Amino acid sequence: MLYKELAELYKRLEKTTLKTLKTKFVSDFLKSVEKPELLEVIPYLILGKVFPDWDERELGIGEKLLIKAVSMATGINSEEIENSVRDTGDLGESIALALKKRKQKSFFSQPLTIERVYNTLVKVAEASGAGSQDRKLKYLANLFMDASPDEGKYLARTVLGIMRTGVAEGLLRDALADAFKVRVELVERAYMLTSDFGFVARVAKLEGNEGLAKVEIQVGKPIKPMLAQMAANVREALVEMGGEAEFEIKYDGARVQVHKNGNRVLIYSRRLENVTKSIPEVVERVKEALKPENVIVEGELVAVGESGRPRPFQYVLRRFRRKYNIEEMIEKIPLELNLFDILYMDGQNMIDTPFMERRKVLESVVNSNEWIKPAKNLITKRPEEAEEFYHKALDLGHEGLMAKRLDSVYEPGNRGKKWLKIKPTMENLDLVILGAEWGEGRRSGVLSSFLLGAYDPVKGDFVPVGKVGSGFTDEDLVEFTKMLKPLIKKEHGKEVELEPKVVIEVAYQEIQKSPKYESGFALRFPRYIALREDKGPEDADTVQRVAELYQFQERLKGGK
Amino acid sequence: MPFEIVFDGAKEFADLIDTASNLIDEAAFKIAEEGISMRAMDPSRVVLLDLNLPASIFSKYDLDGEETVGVNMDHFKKVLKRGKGKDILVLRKGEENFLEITLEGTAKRTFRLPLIEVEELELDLPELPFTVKAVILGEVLKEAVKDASLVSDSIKFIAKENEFVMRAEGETQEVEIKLTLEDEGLLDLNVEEETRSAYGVSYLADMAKGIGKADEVVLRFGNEMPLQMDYPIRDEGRLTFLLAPRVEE
Repeated sequence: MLYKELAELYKRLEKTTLKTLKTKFVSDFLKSVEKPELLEVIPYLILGKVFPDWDERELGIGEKLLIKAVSMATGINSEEIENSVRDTGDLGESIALALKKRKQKSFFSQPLTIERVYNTLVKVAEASGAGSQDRKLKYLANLFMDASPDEGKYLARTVLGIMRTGVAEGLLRDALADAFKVRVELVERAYMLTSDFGFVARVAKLEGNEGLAKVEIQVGKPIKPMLAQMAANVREALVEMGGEAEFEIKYDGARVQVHKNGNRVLIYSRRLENVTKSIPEVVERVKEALKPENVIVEGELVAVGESGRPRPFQYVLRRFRRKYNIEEMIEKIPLELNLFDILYMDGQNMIDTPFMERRKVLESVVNSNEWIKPAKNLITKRPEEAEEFYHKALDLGHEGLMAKRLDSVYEPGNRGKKWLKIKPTMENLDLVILGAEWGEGRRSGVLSSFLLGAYDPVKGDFVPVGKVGSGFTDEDLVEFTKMLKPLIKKEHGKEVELEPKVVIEVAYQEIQKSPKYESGFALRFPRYIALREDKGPEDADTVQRVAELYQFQERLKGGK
Repeated sequence: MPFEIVFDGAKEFADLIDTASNLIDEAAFKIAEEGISMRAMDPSRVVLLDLNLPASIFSKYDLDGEETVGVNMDHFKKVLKRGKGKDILVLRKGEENFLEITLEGTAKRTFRLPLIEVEELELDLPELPFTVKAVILGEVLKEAVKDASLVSDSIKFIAKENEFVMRAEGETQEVEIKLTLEDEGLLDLNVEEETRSAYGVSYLADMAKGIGKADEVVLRFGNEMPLQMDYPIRDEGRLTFLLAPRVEE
């Protein structure tokens, strides 16, 4: 099947904002795919990916290398491509432009097929070892050599993982149901259980409703995690749960899903990325501690500090990201796994089993030790008891508590009220905009990501504490662009430096210690709340205030 | 089909494979009565490689029927690089799917390299009406490529009567390398008409990497036409590169 057809689909998707139309386009396209093997790949390509998130393989291509590949294939120099992003607002468009102006001739050319694109990208992902960057570059250049400007644009976006066609999982699910005349709930169910749209598409086409209904949890394919809503306090949680609940320590770590199949262990992050290789010691412990031959459990991976106190969750993420010298990291950042759920055991699906029973089974299948054990919990009807547990959790340096309904089944992918989280929130900060970045795609031509600073009255200067890009409506961004454009001091590529004038209020989840900024602090998940026209830059919150809030937050965690 | 081939001077052979391995990941070598040949394109299909080593350049060339062996060039190169200049290289294959590489020096060292499936390139070398033929010293080409890469990613070849110029123009900087027959670096020049053509520097760099400074390199090109670069191996053998041009609109 020609890649041109897929590029055509992307183009049509990009042109409309109507969901119904998009669904129809995707559905028609899925119907036109004849080969079942191809159907396993195409749903991901439609989403703008090459592999499912849980696949270990990744392309490992940044903008630089991509531009270099295009430059190699076209003979247009890298700088020219890079600079044209300012005008086009999108690297994909700039690459299309370069392909139009192509100078480099080749000896042989043949049209791109979807199979060739996919197989080449697999080679890119699998290239490793010495000279692998160079080989990745050449494989990519090979594709761009034969790509039309349109094909090149979407190829580039696929490589970068930013498709901008507005197709999310929900739309793909609906389109799949429509294309193969199957029930949407069955598609959803099969997807939640396997996280594999390729597999679901194939089953839908070949086996219809009946096949989809039979789809079961598979060890080796992650289940979409069940999520929790916020509760203000433990009392509210108890009421919501019907008077009695299980409270569990909410560890400040990273949630993981552990799949064990005999001697083979796979571990997925909360976003269902395969992190197995980065934490070999956890893999070994899992093999020993989990009694069943085949099992899927969930837990929170926590970095343990010197005195046995938990360290902030970023430490765990550092472990996940680490690709080299892993041995050294095992010593530097020891990890402890606190298990809180069991979803599958020896051929038996457990997710429809009530929570309390799952918990009991979990406790019975874990050979607990220092490094791996069931999460600390408390089942109670009494708010005072729960309150005490909550404070104890904070004193121990944890994030708060989870409350779980005793009779609740596990609802993959659902953020309901069967699970609630209770934790202290932080007050908002008023900060000055110090810089910004020109947006891409839908946000091209507007400033879209803002560097925020706190005031340092000692130096009379502003110190960066984070970047905010979320919480803005499109209109907000247009307004901010108008407001900030006259304040531009310097421009470098996409980045602009601004006169510190505009103050905004931001919410955030946490203040982190960070070497990234001069202030030594960074906001986690900052979100725009309001423009503070009533405040001048010197009225913004100070670095000292940020430091105080950090101390306060650590006290809440029981840090000091 | 078994064969045993002996080449005196392991390093020279290693350099040859090293040069080719800059551009291709794997290669299918055809071992025939007349000699060893290999044809391949780099993944972006901008460079075509054609290797021809007649049986006469080997000190022993025994084979039992024609055969094509596919190898991973990187692995092949690394093994060959273990050889010293005066080592004798023996390439041997029995009935098994392995290539045995023996380096005979102060000791006999034998490596076994697994053979892989490599698609043979079914492509004839195009007959091109070149208008320029220049013979230059390897060193000149190597240095020119380095000079050019400082200022641009493409390099222009310009040939006039009695003059061969390589020029690179960046946004702010320029470099020009001029050669006449008076210069030591230009050994021969035949120009039918004034000719200009441009090529990607990074490809040229890969092609020139393995050339010895004192090697005589034969360049042929035409207006906006591919560049053919030959370098001889033991007089009768040669490695040919064909590099597709860059065309300015």
